[in-house]
Amino acid sequence: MPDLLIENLSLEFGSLKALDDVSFRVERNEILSIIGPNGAGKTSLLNCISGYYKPQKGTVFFERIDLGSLRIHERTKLGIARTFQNVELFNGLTALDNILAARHIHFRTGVLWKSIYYGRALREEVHHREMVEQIIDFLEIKPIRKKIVGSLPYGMRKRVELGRALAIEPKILLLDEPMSGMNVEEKEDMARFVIDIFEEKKIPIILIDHDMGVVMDISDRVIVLDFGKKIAEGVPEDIIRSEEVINAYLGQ
Amino acid sequence: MQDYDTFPKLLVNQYEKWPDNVAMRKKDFGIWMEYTWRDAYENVRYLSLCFLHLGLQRGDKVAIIGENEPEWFWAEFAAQAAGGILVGIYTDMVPAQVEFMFRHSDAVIAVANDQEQVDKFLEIRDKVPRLKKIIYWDPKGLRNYNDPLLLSYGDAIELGKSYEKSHPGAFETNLNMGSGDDIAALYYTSGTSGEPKAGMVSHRALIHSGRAFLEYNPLANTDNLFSYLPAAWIGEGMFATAAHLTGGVILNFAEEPETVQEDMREIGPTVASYGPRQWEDMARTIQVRIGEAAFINRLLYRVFLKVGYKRVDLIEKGLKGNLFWRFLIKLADILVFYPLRENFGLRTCRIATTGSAAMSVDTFRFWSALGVRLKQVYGSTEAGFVAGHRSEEIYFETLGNITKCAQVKISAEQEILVRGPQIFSGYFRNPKKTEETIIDGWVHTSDAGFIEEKGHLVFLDRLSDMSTLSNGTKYAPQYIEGRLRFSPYIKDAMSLGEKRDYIAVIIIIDFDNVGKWAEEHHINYTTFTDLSQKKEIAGLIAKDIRRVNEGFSQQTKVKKFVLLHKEFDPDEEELTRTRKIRRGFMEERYKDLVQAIYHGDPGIDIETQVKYRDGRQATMKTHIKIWTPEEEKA
Repeated sequence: MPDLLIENLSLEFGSLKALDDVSFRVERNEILSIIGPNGAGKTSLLNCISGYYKPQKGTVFFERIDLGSLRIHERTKLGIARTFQNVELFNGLTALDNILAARHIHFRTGVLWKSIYYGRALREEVHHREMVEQIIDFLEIKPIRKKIVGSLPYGMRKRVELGRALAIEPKILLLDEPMSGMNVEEKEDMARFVIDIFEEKKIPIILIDHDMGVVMDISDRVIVLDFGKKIAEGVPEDIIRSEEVINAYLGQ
Repeated sequence: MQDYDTFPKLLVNQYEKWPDNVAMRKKDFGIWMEYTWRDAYENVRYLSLCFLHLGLQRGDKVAIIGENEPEWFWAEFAAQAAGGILVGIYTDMVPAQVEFMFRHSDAVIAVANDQEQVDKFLEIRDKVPRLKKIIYWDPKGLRNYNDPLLLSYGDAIELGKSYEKSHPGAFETNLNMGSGDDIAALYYTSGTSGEPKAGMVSHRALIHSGRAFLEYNPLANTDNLFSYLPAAWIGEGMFATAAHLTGGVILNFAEEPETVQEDMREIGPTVASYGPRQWEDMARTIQVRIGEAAFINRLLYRVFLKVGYKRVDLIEKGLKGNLFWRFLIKLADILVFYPLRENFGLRTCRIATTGSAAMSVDTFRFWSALGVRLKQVYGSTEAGFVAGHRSEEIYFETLGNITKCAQVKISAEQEILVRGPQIFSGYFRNPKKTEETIIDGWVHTSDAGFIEEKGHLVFLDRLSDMSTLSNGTKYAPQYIEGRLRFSPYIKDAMSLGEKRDYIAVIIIIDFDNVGKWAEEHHINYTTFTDLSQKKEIAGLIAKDIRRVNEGFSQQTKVKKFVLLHKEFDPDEEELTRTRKIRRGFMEERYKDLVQAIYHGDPGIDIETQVKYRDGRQATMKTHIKIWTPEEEKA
């Protein structure tokens, strides 16, 4: 059974077709990469899945639930987590608080209980802090735990953002260019984390990135978009050889 | 005390005394996790049994590589409890270096921290056939490794538990078979030439060094030590580990190497050990940060630093100071110095040590002003812990008192020779080097030094950097120059004497301080040149030279000196840009002067070419007097 099923998705901004009849499925236990030139509609596609955009046509099913009528936070509760192309964190908060904030959807106690901060509320906060600390350990960001995010280098902020996505305890992870603007070492680290998450949490990952080396290396399948249309889909070896893809994207 | 003659026996003793006291602390998941002596004992016990299960024989080596964490030390004690020998490998070593140490030491079991270190052993496995198992304690990233050579720390403990069922009493039997003369560890020293050497150090040596350290720096089981210097280095074994086991001092470990400073601040250790470079770096950091601080902070710092230096003056004169000063010093501590020290985790530091290289007096005085009295610790892999400062007797020019157990003798070549229970047992598989180093029971340290009248050991220089007089007597040119520069009136000094009959020095006076002194004593002068040739100034400098001379034998006393008419100048190539004297150049430049000194002339007219910065040249003619320190009384 596919985890995510996308059928005939179309998204228009006025006369501009951002997505044009895109269909594909994401199986459980696979890393799926979406590639394509700038403006091909990759981010729009993620936005349709996570609920930022409402497509004019088509449906998105996640674990047999139609997401069409669900709003962003409801989709998050289903376990759809994402990171952004341009890091979107609370710049004034620490790395720890940023990740802890994402635990919000798992808090059970209400405002009243929390304001008393005793008994259940206290226990709950300790529990969530433990979960966050495991993520911090996992992503190796202990040294920056209490640093204000705005003061961190770009690569580290990307890592914190990934940590925040993990705090949701996602059932599917959407990563929008997690390796852009990084040096080789940072890219290697990030690629390792992506693989580690995939293997440890056993969740599907949709990855957008421009670094062909990394994409071909870590994905199980690749989808190629061009002007909103899906022009190819397949295992990395086939994609690299495909005429159409070379013409559209990789260059002659 | 006799019974606890090995590290693991000491551990058992600590466990029996106070099983539920905290032995170690390690930050994990953002929280300080505490490990009691019971935890330590049980880990050591079962890990040791696991080593036996894996077939470790008495005298076999166990290689450990990883960050300082409880498991590192437990693995060490476990290996030793089974009769094994520790081989500590530095975390930053590449596989080729790991291979060298592993093969050279003939190790059979590897204990590694994490994936990074495990990979090193997996890479070299074909070249080290004796490797039986790799035990790792941080499983992160290793979940897909299915190599039969690997064993997780948790599984190792389980193996130990089941081994105990089939072999009851095996731990105790092996523990009791150990004696103080057993080798506890091989400590590799890089060695200035050729292949690294492995010093074999016995339990007895380490324990004696550790006890001596505790005697000089009293610490109890409530004291905190922050362990972050490489555990593979003997310094950590001699002081941290031995203090932990003999005194029950709590070892604390950082969460990550990057978080040491922050974690140290949270712990507030009572002991701080750094090398001179690190003390200097921290002092510089403080000065730079103050420069960037708000106006009011800068003002407070400037005012109270003067108070701090007053404290140093008082201590050096052995005075307590009147009520007024005592109040001001306390105020300075509370307002400025405590918060400053807090930043480096030195707020609660009672004992601060430095060692292994000379440190500038400025740094020493700076930290004293801040209320941190730095104490020397002098020792080596070969000689053990030899000398150090007691709290009440700190002099920055010495290495401190010689410890009770160490015997020190100065050879004819002025080499420091050391004997006693704390010395090492020789180099592993290198009898030739061992014979060169231990002669008639005395360890030859290759350090030159002497014992001064207070009984303190003084370090001159490495033996190889000493100069020789014409009669063969060795002396330390840099030491003499360094000691002279301690005087506020001497800015620079260059000693002469290589292949000559006696030592003479060329001195540059400190124009500001000497000028001020001259004014206070109503001595008129016009220029630097004029001031430098005054008889009264010669008397002033002679007093400093006589003070330095006190520490030297008749042969190596400074017998003549001149006060140069100008400062050494990098623009004239007399100094390097880092202000080191260019000896060869100087001896050539001032050869007439040098000749006159050793000829016994009372003075000499010299001409020097002076290059101005705009490129013009001029010739200066000056009469320079040659003085004898013993005759010039101010």
